[in-house]
Amino acid sequence: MAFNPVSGEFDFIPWDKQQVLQDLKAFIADDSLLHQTSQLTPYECDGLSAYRKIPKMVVLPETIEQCQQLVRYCQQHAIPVIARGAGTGLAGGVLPVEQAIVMSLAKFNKVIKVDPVQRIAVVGPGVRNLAISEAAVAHDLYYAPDPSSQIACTIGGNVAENSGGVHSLKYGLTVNNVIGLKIINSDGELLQIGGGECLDSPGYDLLALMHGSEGLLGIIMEVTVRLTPKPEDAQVLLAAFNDITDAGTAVRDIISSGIIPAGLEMMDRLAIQAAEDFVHAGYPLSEALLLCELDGTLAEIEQQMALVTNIVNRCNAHHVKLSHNEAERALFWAGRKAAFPAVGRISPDYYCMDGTIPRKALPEVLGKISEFSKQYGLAVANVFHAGDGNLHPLILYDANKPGDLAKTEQFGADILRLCVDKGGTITGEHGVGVEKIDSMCHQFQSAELRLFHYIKAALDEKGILNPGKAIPSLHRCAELGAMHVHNGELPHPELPRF
Amino acid sequence: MSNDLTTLILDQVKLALKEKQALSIHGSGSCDFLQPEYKETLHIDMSQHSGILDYQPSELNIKARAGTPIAEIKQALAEQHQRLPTDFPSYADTTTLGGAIALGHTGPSRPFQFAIRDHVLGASLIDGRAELLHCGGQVMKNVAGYDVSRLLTGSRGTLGPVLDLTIKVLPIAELSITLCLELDENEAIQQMNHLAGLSLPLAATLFYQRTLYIRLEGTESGLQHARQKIGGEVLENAETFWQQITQHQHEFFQQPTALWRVIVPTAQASFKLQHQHDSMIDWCGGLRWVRADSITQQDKESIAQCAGYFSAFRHQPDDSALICADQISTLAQQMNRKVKNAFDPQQLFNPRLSQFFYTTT
Repeated sequence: MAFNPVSGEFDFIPWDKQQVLQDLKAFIADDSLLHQTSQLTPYECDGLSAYRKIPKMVVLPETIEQCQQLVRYCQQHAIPVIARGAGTGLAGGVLPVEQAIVMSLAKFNKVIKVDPVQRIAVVGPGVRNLAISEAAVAHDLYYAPDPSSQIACTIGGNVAENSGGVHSLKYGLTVNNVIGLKIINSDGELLQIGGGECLDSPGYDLLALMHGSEGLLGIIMEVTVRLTPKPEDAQVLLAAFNDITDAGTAVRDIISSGIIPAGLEMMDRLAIQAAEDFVHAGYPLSEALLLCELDGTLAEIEQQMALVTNIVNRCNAHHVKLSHNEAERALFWAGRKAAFPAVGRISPDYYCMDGTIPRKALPEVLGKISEFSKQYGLAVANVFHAGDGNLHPLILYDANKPGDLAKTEQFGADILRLCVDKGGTITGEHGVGVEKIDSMCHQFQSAELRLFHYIKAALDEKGILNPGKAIPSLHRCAELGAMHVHNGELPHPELPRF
Repeated sequence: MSNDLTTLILDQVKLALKEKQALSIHGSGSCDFLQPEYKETLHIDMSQHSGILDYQPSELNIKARAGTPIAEIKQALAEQHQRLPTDFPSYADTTTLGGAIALGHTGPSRPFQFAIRDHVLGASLIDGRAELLHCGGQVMKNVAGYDVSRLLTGSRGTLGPVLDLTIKVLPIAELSITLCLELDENEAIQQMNHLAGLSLPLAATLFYQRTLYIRLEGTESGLQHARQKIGGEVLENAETFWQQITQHQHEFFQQPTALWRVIVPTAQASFKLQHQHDSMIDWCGGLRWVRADSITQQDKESIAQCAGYFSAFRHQPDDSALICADQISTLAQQMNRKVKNAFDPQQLFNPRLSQFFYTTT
């Protein structure tokens, strides 16, 4: 069997490249079919470059009909197909698997419509996140979810991963800002889900199901997004603390005071230092730095900023600064936004984790991460979407050092395990992909994983859509569970062991 | 009141599975008027499975059993100066959290504070294999596994009994005011859409009998600024007014004529059903409540033409009008059917309500 719907395991039969090429040429132009190694190499990985595999073939269709024909062809011949956007994902979600065809949606990069009156835009899946806001700027509207890769990442990928960003506490995630999708199902049929231009639609909330499904349930061909009015003004407060617990208390008190900041970000000492050395944002060296952005009218911001300033002072901030103009606001953010590349400068490689935790668990989790860091002998810089509990520890390692990557992955898995144990999740916004597939076994029990496989099997019987990602097979978890016996309790005990 | 019936409910599902008998899942019954009357041999009363399980205000979420009344949750939140994140319609005082989620309707704040499904962070349910499942979690950002928690919203119990839910909560705004402008229907629709495109602390807009009601929530200075921009008169007793709208206690909803819920794009110009008596415009223009004796073929076509859909609401002459699956495309119906089968292969749960998602014939 090519795909086992109960366990999620798959094994696709090798196909003849020349034959498939010839077949596809019947409906796809020659120059849209990539099959030579030099052409295929750019598609060997996404943003998680530690995992690479050169695909057997890449197809760049230009029309929805071509995509449908390709999916039908793959369905007929049981060939796996992986839809790919800009390839900026951080979890190996579009890593080629054995015998797969990669379907790049790069040519679907048109903004089909901006409707300023209804505050919506209809766009192709290959439109870059930031390009939507650029298309709406003349109407003082923008697309609110802003993943840090927004210059490059595409909306189709954002839907597949349910991307967040630094403003998601106030403005929501991708799922909250998309009202309609056109998708191709595993049979190659095109269907509209969600409300189109309406705010509601009858039937199950298939729109929610598609978000974050990592290309396993359908291929996104068109997205209708909500646009948000641009706030009149925005201001950032920067506060430095000598104790990370004080910064954590400040976050709790800001949230409890009734203010919903547009952005609330925290960085630890190593991240602050790296960012400051890189962009000179004026960050004072300290144990923790908090950036709190408020937006709205000037008077509104002034009133709430006075409250936030009081709170951080009460929580022993030793250095508090407010942005006084747009340039200063951009500078304050520059350090945070450049935190990842900044860390990249001080280490040959880094590995970015994406757990989410209840905010109250922050000091404890950071303390534990620091212990792990000593135990593994690998440094960690932490950046934290403090408003919504999304933690990005960056583990510093050297891929050229034998054993370093394996040690790093183990360290990362320990962090994710800790996030789950503290009531959080293994991934807040990057997705599972191939990277966190083993950690899924810790977050979910067999019954839940089985339900996920039933959903997958119902919508993609042959399992051709992006197989091997996001949801681990039950046997994989059982094998892994044997390595992680906790308190003498064997996870997934009902499964046979080999 | 706190009462854990997990074991009992699980046993009931196991029995139904063993006996191959359908189960009807009920909450407080406050939304029974929205579904055809039916009773299966086996019946689960979720309203007794109640109680708040976890609420820490600084985490901005609350976890409660499905049978917990919305009123109880609102009260617990209000004590901490917090609120539900958008208008959860409770059509009676007894409406439960599980019932509101099963129905999935959102009140007037929908265009500005998202739909209730947007604020569902996690859920536990029992599926059609009698497995107890925990999906989602208690954190706002979570993309591990398929988004089952949001999928359950609006599923009318057909995917299984939901035991508990975690919902995002928000602080109560410092101030709230409602402004009234006198306009005709088309002017009001234009004005609602115009205002929604500006950076204003809007929380709801509603048009009824030549008056556009605009609810604002925010800081004192923010509201002052908005008021200067919008103009109009301040509505007295605004809180009561919006509560009457959200809970359908307003006179408009109490009339005995058949009531229709018509969804259209927000900027859709004024239109009338052929046998219309009266209407109320909500969701910034995107939801038209219409009182009309019946809905004609021509009405159906004009709604379909603007890519909207309709469903019957109160005071309907017969149950069949409640169902709107025929307005779902054939392919989407097929997808709905497959989703239902993935959760409930033996068709145990509320089988007659699956006609809301696909035509059963």
